[in-house]
Parts: sequence; C-alpha cells; structure tokens
Amino acid sequence: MYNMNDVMETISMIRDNNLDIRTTTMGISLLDCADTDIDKSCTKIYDKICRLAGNLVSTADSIAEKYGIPIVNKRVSVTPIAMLAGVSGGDPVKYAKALDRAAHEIGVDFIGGYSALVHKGFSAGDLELINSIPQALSETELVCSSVNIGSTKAGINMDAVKLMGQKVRETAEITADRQCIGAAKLVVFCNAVEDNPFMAGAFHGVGEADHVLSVGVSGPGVVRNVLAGMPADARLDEVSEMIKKTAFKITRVGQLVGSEAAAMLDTQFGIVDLSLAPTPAIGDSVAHILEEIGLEQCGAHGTTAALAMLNDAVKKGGVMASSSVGGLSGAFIPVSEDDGMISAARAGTLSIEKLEAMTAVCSVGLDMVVIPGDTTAEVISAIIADEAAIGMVNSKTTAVRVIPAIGLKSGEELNFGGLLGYGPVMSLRSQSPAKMINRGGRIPAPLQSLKN
Amino acid sequence: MKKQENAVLTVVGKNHIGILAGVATAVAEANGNVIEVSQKVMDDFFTMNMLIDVTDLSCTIHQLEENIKASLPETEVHLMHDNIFSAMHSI
Repeated sequence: MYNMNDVMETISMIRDNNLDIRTTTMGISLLDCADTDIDKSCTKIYDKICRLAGNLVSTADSIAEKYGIPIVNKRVSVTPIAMLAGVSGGDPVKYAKALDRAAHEIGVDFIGGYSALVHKGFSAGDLELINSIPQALSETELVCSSVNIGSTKAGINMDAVKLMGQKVRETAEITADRQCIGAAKLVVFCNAVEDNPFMAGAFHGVGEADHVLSVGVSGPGVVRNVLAGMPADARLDEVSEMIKKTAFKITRVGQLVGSEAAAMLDTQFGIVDLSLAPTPAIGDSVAHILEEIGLEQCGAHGTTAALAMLNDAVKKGGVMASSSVGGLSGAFIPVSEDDGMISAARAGTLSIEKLEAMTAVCSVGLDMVVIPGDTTAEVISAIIADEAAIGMVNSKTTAVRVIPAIGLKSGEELNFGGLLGYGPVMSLRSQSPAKMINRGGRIPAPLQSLKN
Repeated sequence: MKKQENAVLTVVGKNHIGILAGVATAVAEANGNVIEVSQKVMDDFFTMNMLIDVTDLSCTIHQLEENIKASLPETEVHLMHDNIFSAMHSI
C-alpha cells in the first residue's frame, strides 16, 4: 500500500492547489474533407468533427469523475483551414461557421485551426483566409485562429507581419462591443508547433495522424506550494530539483488521463504538453512561483533568470514522465490570465519590455497583453516582428496575442471574464515603426552557426 | 475477467468509536471489497489508509466517497482511484 504522506500529497495537490488537466484536445485532420464545392466541404467537416469528437466531452467528464481530477477544457483542433479554402475557393467565413456549429453540437469549449501557415509566402487560400479573420472571429463564438508568419528555417514573412498587425486591430475593432474578445482568439506565431493542444493557437498539423488526442497539464499552484515548503536559503539547484520532481508528478497524471481518454475514444494518443498554464484563480499563478523563488514582484530584475530556470526544470521533470511530450511545453505567461502578472502589471513592475525579454526563455510569447486602443496597426506589426525575431533566432516558438482595448488608454482595465481573465492596458512606445513595416518583403533565415 | 481496479481511502480526524465500522459498512453497501487497512491513533487523532477493490462497485467512486463522508461528519475523508497514486509515486 502507498505511503500515507504520498497519498496526502496527491490529494492536497488536486484539492487544495488547483492541480488539473487544463485541456484534452482532439486533433482532427480535415484533408479528406476538401472539396471544390465549399458547401460540400463544410458539410463534410461538420460531419467528421461530430463523428470523431462527439463523445469527447462525455469521455473527459467520466474520466474526471473516476479520478476526482478536474479536466477543465475539452477542445478540438483541425487542419489549417486555409488549405481547404485553397481547394474550394469561396468565402472562408463559411468554414468558420461550420466549425462553430460543430463545436456547439459536440459541446467543446473552443475549436482551433482557422489558420494559415505563411512563413515563406502566401499560397491559394492563405490571403483570403487571413483577410476574413476579423469577420470570422466576430461572427462565431468558439472558433480560434492562428497564423504562422515566420520560422527559423524560412525567416520572417514581413508582408504577412504587416497584414497581421492590421487584422489584429480590425478584429479588436469589430468586437469592441464585446471587450474586443476577437483579438483574444487570434495568435500570430513564429515556429508554430503542429501538435499544440492549447488555445488559441491550436491547429492540427499536416504531419499528424488522422485523429489524435493530446493533453495539456497545468499546476502552477502545486509548484508554488512545494517551493513555499522549502527553506528560504535552499540553493537554486535544490529549487530546480524540486520543480523537476513536481513537474514529473504533474505530467504523470496528464499521461494517465490522456492515454485513458485516447483508448476510450478509440484514437491515437498524441502528446502531453508540459505547460504550466495559469488561470486568474488565486493560487494558480506562474508569477507567484517566480516570487516564491525570491523576487519581490514578477517583473523585477532577476525575473528572466528565474523564469529560465523554471521553464527548463519543468521540461526536464516532465520529459521522463511521459512517453510522448510535445506541444508548447514550458511556462506560460499570459498576463490577463495570471493573478500575479495582473498585480505586477497594475503596479507598473511588469512592463512590455520585460515581458518581451521573458519570452526569450519561456514557452510562447507576448500572451494576453492588453494594449492601448489607439495603437496603430504598424506598431502591432512591429511587436509581432520583434517577437518573431526572438523565436526565429533562438529556434523556439514565439507568439503574439495582444488585445487592442478599443476606447481605453494606458492604465485602464479590460475584463474578459472566465479563463481569459482581466488586465490593465500596458503602455507602449509611441515612436513609429511604420517605415520599416511598410517595406514588406522578408527577413532572411538566420545563420545556424557562429552563434554568439 | 475484468481487470481489478482499486481505490485508496484516507480518513483523518478526531478519534471516536465506530469510524472503521462506519467506513466498512459504507464500502460493503456499495459492493466494494476491503483489501488492506492501516490505521493509527495518536493523541486522540485518528488516521486511516484503506485500499478498496472497486471493480464491481454498485455506484461511482465519488458517490461512495460522499456516502462515507455522510456517515463520518467530523472527519476528513478522501477516496481516489489507485491509478493516480501509482502514476505519481511509482516509476
């Protein structure tokens, strides 16, 4: 029988420290749904999603009940829709509506994959899809969109960067009456991964199997609590070791739930995404882990180093715990979804520049950052370009999900409610990058040697 | 034959007569089978760890936990599937 301390540790992780499975995401390939008639294509998509993922929610709920561990989100990711739009032509918004109907029918929280991969250039369907994003996100409820505009191997497509700055702004404007929510469902990536189960950036890559089930674990509260139990003078290698052990345990739960759900749904088990994903709930914050390591507040000098250690330790612990690790895997720093980040941004300790530095060492990028409503499209493009450059040069995934808070100024707050949280508008530099952005073209792929 | 499934029950609280009896009755009523029990009483403080075969349980694990809680109002009761503990604490 188990050691009583081990048993109590597990119980307290789940019941007191918000350990949960953040998402079970079914990735579904829609390549076999492509049709030259857009209406037929939409019907096939709807039917395939409902057929394969129809039991996703009930299966996840039954596993959550069996193990007493919450499975917070159930989601679906699909093949980038630009590929289907390229075959069928026509108005891509029809696809968004078909996805939205399917998502409502099967009861999932979000469906991702209204996406285009344009890191080297635009092919059939890509431009049409990108141009339709604002309308698609405003006329649907559950659809998420992402666009990959750069990669380490291809460089950065600056024409796409320019375009995405405009689309982010338009999406916020068109949903201004709903807290600019559209922009919270739109991610611009560099080095996008094909098996990410987290929204809003999930899509099902073309190299994946027909359908797979992936899991994203969570547990910032657990890590923080474990660190809080350590002596204040514990050395950083000991702290890192403790984070590793905790990440191992968290990931094992993800592996258990994922493989069981995949078997029940008769699908292949995809990956466990090892991300520490915060929520606005008290005690579920990545910023608070950094503060527990020893910073007065997240955003202070030292934050980048603490985050680098945390991110690395989480991966080291998690990799051994799962037979298949993938996705974004690391620590997320979505500002509006993290209680500690919100406080740090309000206090002025956490600035956009510090966040940008943090993204160089952690998972993803500038995530859920609320920016002033009068920010120009060129400035948003420049923010995207900066993030993409960090990702491109460091061979890592970076992303931008900023929300221009239409009508609000620096210091005011935008509240989305639910998991998306709330956050203060962060101030940006006012100098114009318009000349550079309007040049367009491509930033060539970086040298992979002579690295200094 | 069905694969055996176990659950781990922990009970912590102030000692009084009938804790074990209350648990055993609730488990039996739900068609669970007690496999192993370890309990300690220290300074009037009761702790118990019980492994239960839940393969043929007549209700859900959650329901059984609720039943045991109802019969032991002033103690802390947790019942969870064994797979979660083996995943976390054994390699």
